Amino acid sequence: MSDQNLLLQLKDIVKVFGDNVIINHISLDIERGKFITFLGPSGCGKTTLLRMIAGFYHLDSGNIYLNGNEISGLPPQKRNTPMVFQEYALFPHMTVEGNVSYGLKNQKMPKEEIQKKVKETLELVNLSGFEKRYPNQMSGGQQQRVAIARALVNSADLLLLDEPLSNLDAKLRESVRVELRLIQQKLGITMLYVTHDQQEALSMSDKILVLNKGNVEQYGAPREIYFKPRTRFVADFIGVANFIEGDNEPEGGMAALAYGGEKVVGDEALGEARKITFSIRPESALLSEEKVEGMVNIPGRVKHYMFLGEKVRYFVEDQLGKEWIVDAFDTGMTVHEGDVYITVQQGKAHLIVE
Amino acid sequence: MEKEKKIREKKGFLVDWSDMLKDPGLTAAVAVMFLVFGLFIIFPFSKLVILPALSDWASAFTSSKVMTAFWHTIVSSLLATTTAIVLGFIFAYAMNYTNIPGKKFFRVVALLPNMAPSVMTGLAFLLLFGRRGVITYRILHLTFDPYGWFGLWIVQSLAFFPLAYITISGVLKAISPNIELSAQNLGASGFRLFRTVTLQLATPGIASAYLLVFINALADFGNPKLIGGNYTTLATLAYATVTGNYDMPLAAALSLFLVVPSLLMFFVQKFYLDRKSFVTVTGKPTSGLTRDFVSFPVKCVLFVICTVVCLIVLTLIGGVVGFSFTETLGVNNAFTFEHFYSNVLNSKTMWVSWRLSMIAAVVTACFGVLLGYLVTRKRFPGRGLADFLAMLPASLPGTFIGISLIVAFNKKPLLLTGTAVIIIIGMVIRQIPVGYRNAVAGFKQIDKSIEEAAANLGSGSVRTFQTIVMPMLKNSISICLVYSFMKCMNTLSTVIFLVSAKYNVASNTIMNLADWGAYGDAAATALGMLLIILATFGIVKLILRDKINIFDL
Repeated sequence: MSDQNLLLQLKDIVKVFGDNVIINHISLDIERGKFITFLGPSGCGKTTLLRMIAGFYHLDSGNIYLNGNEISGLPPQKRNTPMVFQEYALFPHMTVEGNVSYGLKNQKMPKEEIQKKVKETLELVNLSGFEKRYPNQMSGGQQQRVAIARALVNSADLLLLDEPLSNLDAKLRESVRVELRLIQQKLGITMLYVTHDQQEALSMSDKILVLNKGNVEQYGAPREIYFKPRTRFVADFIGVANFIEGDNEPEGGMAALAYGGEKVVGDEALGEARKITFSIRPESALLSEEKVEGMVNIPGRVKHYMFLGEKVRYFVEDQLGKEWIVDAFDTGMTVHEGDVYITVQQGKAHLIVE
Repeated sequence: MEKEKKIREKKGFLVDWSDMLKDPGLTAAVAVMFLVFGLFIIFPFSKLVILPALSDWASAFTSSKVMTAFWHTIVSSLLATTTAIVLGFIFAYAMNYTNIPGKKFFRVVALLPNMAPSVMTGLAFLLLFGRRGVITYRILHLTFDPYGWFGLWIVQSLAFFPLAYITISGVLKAISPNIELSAQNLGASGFRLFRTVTLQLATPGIASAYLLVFINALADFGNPKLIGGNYTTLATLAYATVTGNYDMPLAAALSLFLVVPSLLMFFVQKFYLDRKSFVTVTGKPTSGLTRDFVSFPVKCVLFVICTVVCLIVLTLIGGVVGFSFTETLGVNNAFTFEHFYSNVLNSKTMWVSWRLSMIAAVVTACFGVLLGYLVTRKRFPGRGLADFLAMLPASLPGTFIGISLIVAFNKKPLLLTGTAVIIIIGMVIRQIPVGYRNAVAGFKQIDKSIEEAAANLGSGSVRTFQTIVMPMLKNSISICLVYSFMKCMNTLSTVIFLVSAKYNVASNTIMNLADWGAYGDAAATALGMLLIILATFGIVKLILRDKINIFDL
């Protein structure tokens, strides 16, 4: 554990409920000062993983190290892994001040110091002046800030957040996102953030851990996750993707496959003869009335479309019966109808080898 | 393929055990809990069970006196419970499903019999409708003999219907009006709506209420003694056996006779009704929706029934008041304060009753919260057992608990008979299920994540309990306190075997005074208890400023 930059280490963690494996041999290194998101559909194990770090669930196998010390055997109160709960879990019988100072009082910190820290933290979350209020006298967004302040005040290197924004309305959610990210960067702490909202994950994180059925699908930066998904699941879960499959027929060393009489060349090299999948994002494809020189041209017919403001989303059926989703931006009043070509630039199709 | 050993969930006894030991506060609390259970429930109960020898059983089974008492008990309890449940249901339905006038009045009056020992109802009945009763003999010049099964039936029905009403009202409240509204939306109305939805949903809850009332009727001591006459029941026979011949093995056998039917019903409830239960009695009622499904003629019928029942209750209590403040009502109607002064204001027994009940109520509330906390929130070995033991006394007749305590604690080093402590223990054991259930209901309303948040911020079990749990349960604890106090004041069957010359309780005095024919004194004592309980309710309600609703009605 010599790496000074390493804050939290999960080593081969397993969690089983009855016959169901909830967390399946997960190992993960988390660095200091990063914003990390656990992302996945409900039931993927993301909250379980977070709660295991906080100590609310047992590990059935594996170890957790915080700052190089094993914490897997410690009860929650000895871990110093402050957490922001989804339902806030504020103490309804205490004022804001009482809530925020609770953890410090547990540490038997001197009174003046507690006062100072509470004041600083409330300033940080823009709640100065609310010290004497009770949670039920505050709005949802304000309660959320109290919950964050209560967890921050302990000055731990790590902050756990369990879908903290899911109870807020859309506008508020966006502004709190920005604030959270700023606080994280200002304090230089690591935040572990659980969410099922891919937008949230992409916009806030340094790194995203995509989970599915207790397995790690991919761990990487948002761009990597979006543009270079390692599995079909990731490509499908983050954003929208069109998949085409076929045997690899390399072209100039790059992976390629034949589809609908056209040769589609992918973004990565692969010489091996095997089945491969390409994922093509809706924004990487275009619609055209005519064939376009130098592009992949797949003939199809527009089934229907949705006007979404900044873009129009088309649903196009090709001659093999596959439905494509193609986004057209800055369309003005033009609308494609009837027979069209789906055109894709060579090298835009992303290779997935599973 | 690499062969991999399957990893299993870490759970079970050993995991719970090692978890518990990591938290010293929790370990201590669990130890205290099992020590208390072991000493005051398991030990006395098992001592009682092994006390009767085979020959005692043989003589009990062959004695016609015992067998007659057994059947008397069963029959009279079934009769009284059935009418009490019917009355209670009608009342609860009228209060929760209609807007008949005078609901507040009906509610208060219906609760009055429950706020004094059940023997008050019997006493009042004798005074007004007895052989020399003010109404039957003095006014109507009838010769009516109230003693026997018929009088007992009427008295017990009136004495226990408030309990049925409170319980069933809770059940009806827990039915979401949305379900009934959607049935209405689908075309059901009137009796069809009642039969296919309301009654179906309420049935498991009503069955539980039946069980509760039945156990209380089974063990009741005061009224069978006062009204039963030659109609002996197991409780009165057990009392005669203990006080007359001091034949403890036979008394033990008799009390076990009482346990059999109640345990039977307990298991029926646990394994049959619980599975069929649609409504959680502790669930938060959906507010803001009013139910108005009852037709006008039905409302009229309900109104008339409620009025008649309330008039009877008021007449009985009026009789008690009359006898308390006259020389002898009907014979010498001169006002006197003497009965009330000597039996309430200047009575040592009343003071003892009050003190012991207060102590018992505080102990019950504290222990109940501790139990509720441990069972709902913590993992430790023996959790299921703790839940079972905490609920067990609810299905045991008070007579059984009383006798088991004298059997267990009549020898050194565990000599407690004749002390105040044994009375308190008896009261507490009897009320533990109330305190426990109340606390569990309270905990269910607190999100578990609040306590997790406390642990997450570095707070151990003990500190979480002090700083988070207790303050949040304040109201729920106060209700438990008042309710237990009332029950402890009013209990007779549990403590009748535990009282001594030095420590006697007022509920016992009512019966003794009535037995001696000192009706004015008996009535004043009953009235005094009623007033004390009402006053206690009032004080608590004042302190908590309407934040509580003691019977959740």
